Amino acid sequence: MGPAGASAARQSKDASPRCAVPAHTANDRIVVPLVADFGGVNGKVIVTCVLAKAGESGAQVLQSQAQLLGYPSPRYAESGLLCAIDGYPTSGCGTQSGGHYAYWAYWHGEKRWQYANGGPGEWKVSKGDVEGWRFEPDGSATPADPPPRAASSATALETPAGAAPTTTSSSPSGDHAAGPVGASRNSPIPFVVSVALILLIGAAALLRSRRASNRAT
Amino acid sequence: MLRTRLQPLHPIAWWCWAGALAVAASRTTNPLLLGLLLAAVAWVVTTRRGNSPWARSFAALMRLGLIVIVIRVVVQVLFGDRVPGATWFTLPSVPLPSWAAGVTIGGPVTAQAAIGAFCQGLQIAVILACFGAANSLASSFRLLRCVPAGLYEVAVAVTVAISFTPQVVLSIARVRDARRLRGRATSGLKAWRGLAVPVLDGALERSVALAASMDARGFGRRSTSPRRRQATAAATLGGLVGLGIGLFEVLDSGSASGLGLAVVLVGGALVLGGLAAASHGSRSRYRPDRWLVAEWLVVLAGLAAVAGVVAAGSNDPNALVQPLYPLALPAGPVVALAGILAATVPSVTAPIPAPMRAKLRRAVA
Repeated sequence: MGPAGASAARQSKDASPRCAVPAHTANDRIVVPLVADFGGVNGKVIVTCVLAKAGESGAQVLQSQAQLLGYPSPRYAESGLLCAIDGYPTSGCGTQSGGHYAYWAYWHGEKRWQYANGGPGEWKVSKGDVEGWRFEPDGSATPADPPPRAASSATALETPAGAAPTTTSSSPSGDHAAGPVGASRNSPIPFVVSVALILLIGAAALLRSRRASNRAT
Repeated sequence: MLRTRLQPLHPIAWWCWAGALAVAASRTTNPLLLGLLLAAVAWVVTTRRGNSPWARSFAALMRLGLIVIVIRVVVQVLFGDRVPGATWFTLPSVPLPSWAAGVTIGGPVTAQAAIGAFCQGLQIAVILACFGAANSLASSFRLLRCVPAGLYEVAVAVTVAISFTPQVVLSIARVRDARRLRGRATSGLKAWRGLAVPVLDGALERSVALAASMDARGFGRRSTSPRRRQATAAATLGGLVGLGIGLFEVLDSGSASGLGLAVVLVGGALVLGGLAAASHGSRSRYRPDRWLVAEWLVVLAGLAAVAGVVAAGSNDPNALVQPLYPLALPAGPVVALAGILAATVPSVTAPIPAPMRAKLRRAVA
């Protein structure tokens, strides 16, 4: 889906999601609006006002959003590439198909959305920042990918304290609505068995090679 | 056909087995599977290596693997991308301009970053250990005898490529003996500084000398017509390039492997055709290595490990990686574990190298 399709979707579906600033904010905290756009024509757009300390990383803001909403923590690949926000997608990471990638694009909101140059682990938030994420099911992994479908400036995203919810989402009948995904715990039995196997075989090999070298000398 | 008493296992069988285990290791960063692979390789090496000088290749490459792990983790901690997660400690960091995005110096070090880097280092170390196992188990000189005559044009490169690692191991032993006789340090950092240059220099020189001596003895003599020679050389070279690109596509689990497989098949056919055309005419072989049941068992044992890991991956791709978000114990997929255990079968079925057998008999008597 190209940028043209995205803007059409915004006009028809998006009722400009906002988030409410919490009434009481500690002195050392700043409010960072975080936009999570689940992509596609029917994807949800969730805007959350996250309380953060200035200088926290974009990754910590993302983590706070998941905790606030009770969704699974963000999932990353070994390289630090973000794979999933709020449990979506459940598997895969930047899956490539043809010349396109299904990935979460990272944006910073100023007057307009700016495609991030670095990862969320490197970015440090300061007052007035807006964090934007948009899932690109068929993205090019370049700044030409469509930005999140929400306002890009903090003033346009925040509704003053007092208004009830801390988060709103424009959610048309989502074909893949984000939701908590039960974390699968691995049973410890195969782990214990395989560690025992490794130790057994490894020790046998070590013992044997020791004995062989003793015999040689 | 029966195996004669002195005949060792075909060197290509060992290389197929080790190559298959390396492929299995390249598909997973699960430390359980990698650890079991390493243990299986070590067990087979200790039970079936001879007491040739190059049998020490395995220990040497294990040590190299350890260095790789250390470097991988240290580089990640100092300069790596700041992988988010549970922070262990924070290093003083240097701010870099925005055009250097993706590179950092110092900063918070997370458990996820360190463990992820360790698993990736372990993966490379296991692949190196497989390579070391092949060098320890199979004689590089016997392997050279299997190189088809059609590879004449790249004979020097092939000889150096095959014999370099065992020559390095031999060379280390030689230079260390020389240093010991002169009363210089043979271990520690200081010794390594004195070892490195003569070892690499000596190993390369010996490999090149080996290639030259094989050339002088008529290894892969040229076929008669120059046009035919050019055609076969082009086919072989093109096929090898295709094989290289295709194998990369197949082994890189991220890319679609349908095209890669086709390129591998076409490249393989080109290479085989080129070699067959170039090797026309008969060459006699002295006591040729034969391919018997034991060879098939060794190759199948290696393939079992690949099949187990690939099957576990298609069942559940998450079973092949160390879970980082959230940090958890790695999964122990039963299919993969069984496949890797099956790879230890050669420690029973492969023939025992002859000098070792003599020693066993002496021990029994």
